Amino acid sequence: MIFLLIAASITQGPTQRGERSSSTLRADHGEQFSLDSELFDGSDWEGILGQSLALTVTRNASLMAPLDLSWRGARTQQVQWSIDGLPLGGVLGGSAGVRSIDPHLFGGLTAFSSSGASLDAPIAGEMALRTAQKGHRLALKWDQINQRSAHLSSRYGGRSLSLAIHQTPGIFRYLDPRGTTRDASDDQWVKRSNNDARRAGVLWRESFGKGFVARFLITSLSGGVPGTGARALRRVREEERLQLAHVSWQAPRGAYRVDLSALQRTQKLDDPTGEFSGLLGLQPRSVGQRVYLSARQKKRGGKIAYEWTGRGFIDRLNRRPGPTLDPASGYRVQGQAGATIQLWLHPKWRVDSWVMLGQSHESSQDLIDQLPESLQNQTVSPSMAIWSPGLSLHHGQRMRLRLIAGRRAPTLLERIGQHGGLRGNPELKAERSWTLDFKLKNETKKWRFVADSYLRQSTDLIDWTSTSFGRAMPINRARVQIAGLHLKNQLVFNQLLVSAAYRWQGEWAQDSDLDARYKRLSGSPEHRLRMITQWQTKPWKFGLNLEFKSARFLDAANLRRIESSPEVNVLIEHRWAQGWSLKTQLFNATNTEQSRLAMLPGNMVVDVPRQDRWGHPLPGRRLQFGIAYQERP
Amino acid sequence: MRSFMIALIGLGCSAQEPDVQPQQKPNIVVLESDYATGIISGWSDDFETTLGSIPSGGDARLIALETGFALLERSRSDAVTFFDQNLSLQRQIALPERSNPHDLIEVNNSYWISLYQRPELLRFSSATYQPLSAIDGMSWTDEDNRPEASAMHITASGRLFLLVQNLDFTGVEPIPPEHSQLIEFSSSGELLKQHQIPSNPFGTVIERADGRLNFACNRSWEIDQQAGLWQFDPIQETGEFLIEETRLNGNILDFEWYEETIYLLVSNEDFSTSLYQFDPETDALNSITGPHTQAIGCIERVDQTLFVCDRTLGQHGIRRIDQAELKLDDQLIKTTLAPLQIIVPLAEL
Repeated sequence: MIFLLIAASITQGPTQRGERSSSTLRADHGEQFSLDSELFDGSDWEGILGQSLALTVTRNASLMAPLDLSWRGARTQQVQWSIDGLPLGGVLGGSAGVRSIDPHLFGGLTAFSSSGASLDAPIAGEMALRTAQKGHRLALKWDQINQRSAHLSSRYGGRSLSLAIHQTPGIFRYLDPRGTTRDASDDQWVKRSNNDARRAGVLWRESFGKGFVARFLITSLSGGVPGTGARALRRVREEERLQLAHVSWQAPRGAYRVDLSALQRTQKLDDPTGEFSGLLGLQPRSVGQRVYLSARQKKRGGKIAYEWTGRGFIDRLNRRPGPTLDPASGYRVQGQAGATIQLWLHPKWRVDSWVMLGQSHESSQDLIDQLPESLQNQTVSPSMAIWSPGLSLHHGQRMRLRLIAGRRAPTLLERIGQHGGLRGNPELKAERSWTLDFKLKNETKKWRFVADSYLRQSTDLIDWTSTSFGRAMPINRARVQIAGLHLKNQLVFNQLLVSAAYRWQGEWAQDSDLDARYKRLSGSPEHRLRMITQWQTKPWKFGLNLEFKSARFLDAANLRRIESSPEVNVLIEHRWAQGWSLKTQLFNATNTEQSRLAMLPGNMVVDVPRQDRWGHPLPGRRLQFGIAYQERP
Repeated sequence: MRSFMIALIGLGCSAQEPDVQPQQKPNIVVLESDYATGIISGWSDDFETTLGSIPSGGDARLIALETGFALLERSRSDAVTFFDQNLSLQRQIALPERSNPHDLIEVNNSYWISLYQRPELLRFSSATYQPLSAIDGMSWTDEDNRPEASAMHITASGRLFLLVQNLDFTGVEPIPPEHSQLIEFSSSGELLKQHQIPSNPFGTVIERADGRLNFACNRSWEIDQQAGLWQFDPIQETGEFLIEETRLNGNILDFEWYEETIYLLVSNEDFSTSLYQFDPETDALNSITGPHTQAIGCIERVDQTLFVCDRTLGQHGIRRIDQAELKLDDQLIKTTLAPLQIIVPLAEL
């Protein structure tokens, strides 16, 4: 294990205005997301992440469904999630495991595209959650398909406690084409079954003074795995539990910081009739554990600031494929060290440069031996280097130009998989990427405009594709080139707020250097447009969200092109002076329940249920009621 | 960066769209698939030109019929689709969920469909596509209630055979049985005999001019003593291995006779592939060389030429076997997706 702790005497400098002492130097590279999303259809996470068109989020079929997002071509598993700087990555099963964590347990979310706040996410980006809460909050929600949720958070001095529960029967109607896409006469409307789910979580944060903070997170998720619309799973059930303990110490103004944490995730899948895999004895149980230690030093001078970080973690995965088999274990050790230097060339011009170097080593042969024989062959070294240098030029808050490179080793999940829906691939190579992006921002009292453009080239991009049995498996795409433009415009006229956003993303994927057929990544629309209008006249607030997406491909070969209907969501809210509000939202107001699927070649167009990337049907129109209380500052 | 700019300028934003339905009867038909999605493409003689393509499921099997083609789709859905000889749609029929159809033959005026995961043979009228009574398969099904029924064959003399693997799916990996079965039926669907054969038959059945049946029996993914290319004599009811796995160092994925030699496609222990030419008379085994033999998916004779499906990632297509030089042609006949099956329409034979 390579682990670097850097210690040196420093002189504390002033922090930037508005900067948290716990923040890294690159904290202002991120974009703040509201955890109280409104006017966005989908589950809690999808509504929150859907606030930015830069992210494509496609699921709201079930709480049990792994979160599925695409961010500048990077997939769900590549995006690093962190809680107060603690990376969740591999043990949590990538972002897929975030499904078991209720977002309302937290106090904030910052999204870092293409690079993380510190050492994380050399390619995809980081979703950084903060545990610190503000005041007391309560929210209760219920919708037309009987999804119910309650969130409560409370803060007294240095102690905060959050509770969240969510329950859904998951029953809604959808069109079942019965697998005969060429024959519409046998199509039938049926009810979604085995789609129920329950999620609960508790987060306790305690500040002991003198810079010591402890956090304890316990979550639980269980329910049915419903399968695709045409091939429903009747009796497959899954359960996932997460326990996290995290202690940090920080010197005043964050000059030094040390984090120590332990994380455990248990998962089990019950498939009594072998619906999922065909194998009756495959009833997998797994336990993933992580021990993590990091140290950071931050120094600000007059025109220069430094940050040094070193960290290491050990991931252990123990898995038993079935009750008659012995469990097997594997582990991964990863050490990383990095530095950021911030240099002020002029009161408004700033250069940030950073580098991260790391090494991972894996011992997973016993786990690989549990895989089907056809997947056991491996030529990839168990030790992989990771690195990510970056350079950015800032002009105040108005302009940013960045050049970022990165190399990322596949995670344990990507190599070994998780029995059930996510299949591993021990032959995966590390992915490499460089990104050039340019951001312009102009803000006045009544007008806000942001333009963000980016170019990326990835080699051996780890891309999750669906297998013939409807499961997902990662493969290396030889070369993927991406170019994008994201425009956001917001105008305020007295009580009226109008915002519009547009995103174009071109994608050219090749499966080998000689592949002459450029393809788009699956599930990713080329054009997206959103217009939100809000009118506030106390105590009322009215909102309308219109969203348009161009067609997207369901498959890596780009032979199944599905059209997207415009999405319309409506909000009516009544607020009381005491901090109480009553909110009514209508999602998918046009009641779109079907989509047009063009089967290429031949452009044969058929009706299929409105569905996510993996073919899981989505509900139609949904009316949601909510009551909320937020303590006034 | 240069290639990136070329891509930007040359392709714009949309992906390349393949051809549309053939306007004339193809001489060769190819099933192309990445296992998630598939297409059926029609070709002229010797793969000179593409006549058009139609969509298919990813995990599918295409069967040539007198009237055209039948497409069996499974995994993501279970259905059979009938096309005429121009690949125009005739009828699509839903099959029982998770039945996993594996083969189809035409018997008198009906279609029989073997199911991997249900203990029955389905039958449909070939004139009306209406379902007929199914043949109960419990007698050839093992304890997991799934027979793993695969290839069917109707001999020149009219005898009907069904290969049944009888793998055990009760554990965490399929376990091959000690023996598998070759089931014989009358044309009316009556069970005549259950012949014991080596474990785990795989792929197609080829009938020799003398009536003997050839098929691969692989037992497991390991290299086994009692595995290889099996030859069964339906008259004597005896069988023997023409060549064993131990000589091939792998499992047989596909094979084809050409005059008196057999061309064998073998999956090696590291799951790459090798091609061999084998002469049963002289027992001579020759390797087919060249840089393109690592990811072959099928081998098929078209007129006087042997072709293979090259499934090399990103460089897939059809290649010709140079039988004189015993090597694969460098020239690649490009397909949209990696080819899985090459089919010669029955009317062409």
